[in-house]
Amino acid sequence: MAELPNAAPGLPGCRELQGLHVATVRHFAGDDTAARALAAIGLHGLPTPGVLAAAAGDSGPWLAWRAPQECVLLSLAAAPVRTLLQALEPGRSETAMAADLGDAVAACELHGPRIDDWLAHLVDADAIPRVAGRATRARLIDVPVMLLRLAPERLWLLGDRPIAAYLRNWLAHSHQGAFSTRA
Amino acid sequence: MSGHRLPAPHGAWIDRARPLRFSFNGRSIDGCAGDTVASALLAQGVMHVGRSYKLHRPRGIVSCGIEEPTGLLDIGRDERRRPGTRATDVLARDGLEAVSGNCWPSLEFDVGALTERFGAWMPAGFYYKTFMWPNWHLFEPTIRRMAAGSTLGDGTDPERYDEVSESIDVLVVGAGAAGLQAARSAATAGRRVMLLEGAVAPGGWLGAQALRTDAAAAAGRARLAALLDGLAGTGVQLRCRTTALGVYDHRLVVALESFEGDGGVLRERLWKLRARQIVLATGAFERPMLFPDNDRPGVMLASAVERYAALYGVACGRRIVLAAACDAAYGVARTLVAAGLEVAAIVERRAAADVGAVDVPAGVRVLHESAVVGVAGTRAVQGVWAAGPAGYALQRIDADLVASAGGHTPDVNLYSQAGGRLRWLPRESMFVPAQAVPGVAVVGACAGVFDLDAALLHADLVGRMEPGATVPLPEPVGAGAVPADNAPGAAALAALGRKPGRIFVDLQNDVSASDIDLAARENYRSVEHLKRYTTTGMGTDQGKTSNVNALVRMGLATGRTPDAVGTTRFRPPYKPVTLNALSAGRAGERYRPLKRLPGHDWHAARSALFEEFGGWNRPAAYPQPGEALVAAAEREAAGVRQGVGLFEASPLGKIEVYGPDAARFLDLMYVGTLSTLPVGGARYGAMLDENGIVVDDGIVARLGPNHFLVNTTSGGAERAVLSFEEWLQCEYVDQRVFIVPVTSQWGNVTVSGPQAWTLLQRLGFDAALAPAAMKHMTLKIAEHRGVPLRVLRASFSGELGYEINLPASQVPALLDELWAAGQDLGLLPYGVEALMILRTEKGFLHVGADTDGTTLPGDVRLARGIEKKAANFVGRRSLSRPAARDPDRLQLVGLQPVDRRTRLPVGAHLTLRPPPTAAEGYVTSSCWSPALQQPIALALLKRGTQRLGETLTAWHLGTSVPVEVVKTLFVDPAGERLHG
Repeated sequence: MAELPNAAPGLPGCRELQGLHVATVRHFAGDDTAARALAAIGLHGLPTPGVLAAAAGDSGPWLAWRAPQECVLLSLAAAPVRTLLQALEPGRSETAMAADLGDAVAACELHGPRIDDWLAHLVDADAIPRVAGRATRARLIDVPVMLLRLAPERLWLLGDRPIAAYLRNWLAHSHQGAFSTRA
Repeated sequence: MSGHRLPAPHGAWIDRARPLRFSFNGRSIDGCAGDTVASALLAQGVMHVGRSYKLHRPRGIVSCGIEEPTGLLDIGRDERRRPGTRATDVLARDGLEAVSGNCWPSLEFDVGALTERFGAWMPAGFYYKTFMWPNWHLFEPTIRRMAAGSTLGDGTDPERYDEVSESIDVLVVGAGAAGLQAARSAATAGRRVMLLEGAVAPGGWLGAQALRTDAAAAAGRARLAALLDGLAGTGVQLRCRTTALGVYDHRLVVALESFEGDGGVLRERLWKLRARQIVLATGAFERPMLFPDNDRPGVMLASAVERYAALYGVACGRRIVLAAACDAAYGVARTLVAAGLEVAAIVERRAAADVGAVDVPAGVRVLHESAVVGVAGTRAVQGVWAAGPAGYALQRIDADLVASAGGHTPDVNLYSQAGGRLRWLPRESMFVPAQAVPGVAVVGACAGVFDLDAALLHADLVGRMEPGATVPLPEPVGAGAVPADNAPGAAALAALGRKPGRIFVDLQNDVSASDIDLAARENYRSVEHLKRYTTTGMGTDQGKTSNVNALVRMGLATGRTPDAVGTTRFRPPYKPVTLNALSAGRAGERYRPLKRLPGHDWHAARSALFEEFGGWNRPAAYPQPGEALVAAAEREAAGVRQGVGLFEASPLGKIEVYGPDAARFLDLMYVGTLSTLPVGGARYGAMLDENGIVVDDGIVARLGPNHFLVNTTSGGAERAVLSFEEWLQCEYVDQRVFIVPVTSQWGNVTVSGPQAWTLLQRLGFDAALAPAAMKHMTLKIAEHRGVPLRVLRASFSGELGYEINLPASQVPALLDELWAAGQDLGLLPYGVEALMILRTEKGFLHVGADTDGTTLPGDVRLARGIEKKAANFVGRRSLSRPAARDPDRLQLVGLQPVDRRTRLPVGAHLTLRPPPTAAEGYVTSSCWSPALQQPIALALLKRGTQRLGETLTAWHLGTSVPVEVVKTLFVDPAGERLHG
């Protein structure tokens, strides 16, 4: 499996995000149980398209819009996701539910300068969340991913775990293409 | 030697201090950094560089850009070899190897040149007319060999390619004067601007007029210098050696940047550019003159001759004749004279009155109303015959180069791709843009504006406009009067006193004027038909220099104006592009996203032989040393029947369906009734498309009143999710259902075989999961060492089976635990091949293998319950069509060879008589059954279920096997084994 590129002076790097807790939150229009369950873990209001909502502080959890009836909850700590999964366990509400996706998602963090230059080799330029607090769904080469901009020099890339090796390979290849050759 | 290097300072783009050397057909060629292969060859006096495609006539370099029709060489060697590449578009570099294609044994002595002797009998449509009897396939191999003009590289291309996406406000294509002006104005207005230039440096036509000494040229150079200076500091991103290949919807432009020869690791980069405004400043191509033998090496476009002199310091000849029909030819003459070359004459097609206010260089003869009617020389020009108006007097003019200037053809390719229409200007004889396209502006020569002041004024206006606005088209100006038909007339040709040579319209495809005339006589009227019949406009140049001449000729032959004839469709790519550039790094492990099992390493440690199944990299089998795949699969299948086997079924599609309407929705999606399932129950379901065709199947289990777990086939999970969502979003919008794909979240370890429960018991699985307590086709929620489980009693092997769904990350641990506990039970891992044997023995359907694009549920024994089902379901109505009730439908049956020894090939046709005869059906699955110790197979057979016991013949590639039609259940027909 390809090695993820490390950051170097003036260049971005990438590391695998271990222990990221992920859940999908589904809600019908008019539902308020999802919003209440999220509020209980410090996330107030469901995000609108393109928005990455975050609880107060730097450690999350974060909530990203994914579809009209879906947002994705991410946390480096287990508790918020566990709390939400319990609150929105199927059967508790007719209008909302949550499911654990922690094992389904491969996540890595791109960090350092020129992240956007790197991503431009992988996704459509319009799909790059260039401002902190933005999240997008994008097509990375031939697979769907989510891109979450946590900070100007910190971005999470989420993909389907079974294709993690493919993602790593492209990350390594594109890093070389973006920064090791005349651009 | 005609071609030679001009002394410094001629040659703005070359660096004489950096010499280089490359080989051409084994001959050493010296050049300078900045030279193209073409310019270096011309500088060495090499005029003859290739052979034509059909007639193998000697050909040389014609142009100085991507429009080159004949200077096509194979560049590089071995795996880096790039066939049929334009010598005008490849930078020369040390050690490069260039070889002429389409000639054997050598360029000079080419056996294929004999073809020309028969050229008179090889007009357009020759192949279609001649090789139909007795059978085209008799001739095809030879013709294909003859047509193979170049040789592909062998081996994997080691070069690196990538792609990059960028979003900008304004994209300007072409860095000539108009493009520079538009870019500068847009940037000054605060836009983010990218400027693409296919050449190595900006400047366009003005840049090639460096040698002219007249005041207008000097003023033009000053303007260009000012534009280039003005670009600095504006933030315009200028990308040279970058060619826009295509314009697509939503203002997406795909461009190719070349790094070849830079010494870096990247060869080419594909740009995907999204712009709010596209400005096309692509200029114009020069149109060649038509005259006999106008394809001889040494007959070149006049603008190319000028560019080689100004930009590369190359004189393409010493004594030059200009064959002209436009005012631009006179500027070229001034350049050539300024470069110290002799312009023997300008053979002007027009009358003096039609020629604009041009400045004829001193000492240069102009023969008005004259035409070149012959070219002396075969591999190099030695002179021309010109016929003049006075009684069509003929005169020979000694020359080693003919520069041809027949007017201009605005480069409207990208504009047309963007949806623009064209109109014909009869005075200038050219097609120009006819309508403004929103978000796509055209400026400069591309818009028919050849007057520098007018072009810059318009480009400035375009640059300053709000991106996305519809920009009015400019009024074409400055091209002067140009005759549409620039070929010599019959009287002029007669003056030659002998049969004139061929007049080539399309040099790349050897299409002559007489071919066009023939097509017209044979009643080809549509320009698209003309193209396909004669091949004009095809090939790597896509008719960039030939199309207008062909259209004019077609118009003359059919009594129509060129706009009535019309143009063929312009399509991407604008210039040839390598497949590797398009794939942009999709090779090896990046070729496509092959999914990896959660337990991949566990399987690899047990010598799994991985193969792709439905997009997943899965163990096909676990061969022991020296064991073949098939033998391993048979051993594993037998092991499962006798003891217990482990199979990772994580790729099985898993979709959670939740909501108040979940049950009702699944009734719509599946043939079976799922709303009556009790919680904890599971049921087989087949999914149909609107036509009633079986497209997927699986098991649906009920997790709660409004909560279902849907299993799909491994390869069908994503398709099923999309289908569910589409029905929900487009048809059943009133239903409140969530579709949650969890295939990657939940792994699946399947334990199968008579000892399956014994093994699980050893791990401490709850007694509630025992076969006695848990029925087949039920699901229980359980826990093992704190790990949540969804345990499904189901079986695709026909044995007692537990499909243990658990979080994917826990799969390796469970596999390890099971492995350690089951060694004395004969536990073995089994792969997909063994599973296929097991399910074939049981006659279980494998959608996609035992079904095809016509299979209805009734064909594969899935119609039971349909009639009684009250609810509607997708595909139901189609099942009532007459075709669905056809008694001759293909139905799933079992087969066994009469000799009980010969394995049946999958795909073998089932017939009653030896072929040729209509097939009655075909074999869909086949294996050697370890349980029965004989081959068995499944097949789709006409009226199959009514033909049990019948003997047929299975035919495959000339072999035949008598087979007997039997029921599909080969092993354990009563289904007792799967209950444990």
